[in-house]
Amino acid sequence: MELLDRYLQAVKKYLPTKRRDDILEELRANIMSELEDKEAALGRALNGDEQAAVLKQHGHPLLVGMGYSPRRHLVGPSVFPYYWVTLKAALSVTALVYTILCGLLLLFRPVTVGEIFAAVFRFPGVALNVVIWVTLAFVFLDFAGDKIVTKWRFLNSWNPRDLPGVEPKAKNRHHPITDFLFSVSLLLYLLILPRYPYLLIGPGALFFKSSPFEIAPALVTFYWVFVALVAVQTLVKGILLFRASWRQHQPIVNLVYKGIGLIVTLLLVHAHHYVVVSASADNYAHFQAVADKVNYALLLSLKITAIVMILQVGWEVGRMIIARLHREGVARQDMRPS
Amino acid sequence: MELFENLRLELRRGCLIVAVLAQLRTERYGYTLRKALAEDGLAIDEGTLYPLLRRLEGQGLLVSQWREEDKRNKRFYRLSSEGEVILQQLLQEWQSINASLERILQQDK
Repeated sequence: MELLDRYLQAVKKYLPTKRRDDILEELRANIMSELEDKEAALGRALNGDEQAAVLKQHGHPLLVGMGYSPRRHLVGPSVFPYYWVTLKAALSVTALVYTILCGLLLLFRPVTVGEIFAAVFRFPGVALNVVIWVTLAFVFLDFAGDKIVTKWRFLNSWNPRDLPGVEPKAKNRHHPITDFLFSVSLLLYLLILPRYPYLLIGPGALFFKSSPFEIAPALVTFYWVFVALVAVQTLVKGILLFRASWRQHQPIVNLVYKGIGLIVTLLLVHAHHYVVVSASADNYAHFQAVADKVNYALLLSLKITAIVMILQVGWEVGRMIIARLHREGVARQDMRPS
Repeated sequence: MELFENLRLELRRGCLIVAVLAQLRTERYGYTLRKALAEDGLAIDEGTLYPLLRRLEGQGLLVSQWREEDKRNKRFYRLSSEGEVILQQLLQEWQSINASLERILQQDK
């Protein structure tokens, strides 16, 4: 019954989280009974095409799953599944474009911390606009008649045999407890670093201490931001130990971490000075020239890092969107009005 | 034709709930209920019936329990005591509407 497993897996993605397993078990029992009934009538096992026909008759996974959602009124039930898929796709694309545009602007133009926060806090407004326009469009379509939406040609054919294969049970490559303990260790390591710098640069710590150079204040700020980020990660990982259902959102959480990491890197890019010459140093001009070279090299490497991070975040968001669209077969295959 | 289809669906929607409640005076699980309704001439999509059962249960009109039958766990539904009262009220209303319609149609003849 691999086809049934694939079908139920597809339905699962649209079911309300709270009752998901219970509904799936019930659906499985009902469909199994129907398949067995047909087998008893034919006196033989059903072949793949016959199984697919039963599942197709049952309805597109999106429609079946959404049928269990609470009733909505602004957009009618027959149009709602199409609205939901379109809204999610529109928000994902908006987030991707917004992140890339802001990232590029921040990279190539001097900005303040306030501007970065303003860019982050501006996103909900942009997202709200998208929600409003998509909703208005679907309210109009619903009003004009759901036939307009349900007649979309590319939505009208789907085949259960095209559904993605059953995903293997998550391999515990990163066991949550190991992950959490690693995070705690990293946090402790970071916290003791200022006291024991040789843990980071080994014997170089002694040399640095007696050198005429000092770490710039920007780097100290970065250090605390980084510590805060790791602390938040540790906290989230700690929560995940007890809330297993949250783990399904892990890819999004990881993406958020990367986004924050990118912002911190961009802040560093704009700091320009990472090493300064201590005021009491002899031959100040000579050491300043050395510090400038070190700062330039660090700035260059940070810019390259930022570009790689922007591409990485863009790539991952793109992959998530494509994976989501593919999984949902996006409803881009049939949806039979119920 | 499209208008007729919309009106037909509206007319059926309320009747289906009464039919489901009436069928569940005997305990059944989803698939056998669908079969029983189809055999009595009221075919209903799985995608409509199964969520409807959940909604009616949520409204307190049905009660359900998981039980093993033919070596498989199935969720059996039956009418609750509150459901029985509501069903009787709905049937009275339906009979009243039916009688009114009959009278109206008689006047036209």
